[in-house]
Amino acid sequence: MFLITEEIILPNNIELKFPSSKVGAKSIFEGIVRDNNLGKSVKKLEYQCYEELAIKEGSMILKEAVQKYKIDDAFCIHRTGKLEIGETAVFVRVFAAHRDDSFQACRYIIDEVKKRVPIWKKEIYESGESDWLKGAG
Amino acid sequence: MHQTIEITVHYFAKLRDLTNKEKESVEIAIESTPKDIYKQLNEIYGLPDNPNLKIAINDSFASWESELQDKDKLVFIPPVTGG
Repeated sequence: MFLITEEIILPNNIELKFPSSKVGAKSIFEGIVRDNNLGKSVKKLEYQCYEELAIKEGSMILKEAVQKYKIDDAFCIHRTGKLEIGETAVFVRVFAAHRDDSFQACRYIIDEVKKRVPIWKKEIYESGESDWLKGAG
Repeated sequence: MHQTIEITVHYFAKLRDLTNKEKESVEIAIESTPKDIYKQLNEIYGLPDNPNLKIAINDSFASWESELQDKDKLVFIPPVTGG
């Protein structure tokens, strides 16, 4: 399941129960807002999202991960709106029988989300200036 | 008079800042493509000249050469920076 939310992501509230007794590995990646980028002091971040396409593309990435690796379940949630330093921007969770598939699928999902899902990040600096980050294109 | 159709253009990130709009209705000539529309909008808003943008029509990725239909939703997608 791929979700977009304006609410604070609380990883402890996300369903972490193993989906079946065959699961032997759980991998989690959490992207967190940090206070600096390229030498500038960051005060907060703002994420904008093209939600209809983001959910379509994000769901496609999770489906690809299930097909590509031997995993039981994949979940990803991405935040939008204004985020403070230390808040979770994106959370990925994978369940698998073994650690290799679990790690690799988790890595695949976050990498593809960053490349393909239409979400944009604006950095708001301590200086009062702000700027949309330039993507890889 | 040329026949026209009406589409809605949605803006995100830098393009939203430049246009100061989330979306707008645009009247266009039939058989127009996103390429034509971008040129038209560029004259109004001074959008980037050599944009590295992707296209979505009705919430699916599409081509710059797609022929737009009446009531279509068009989005110019800047390089993404999520995560």
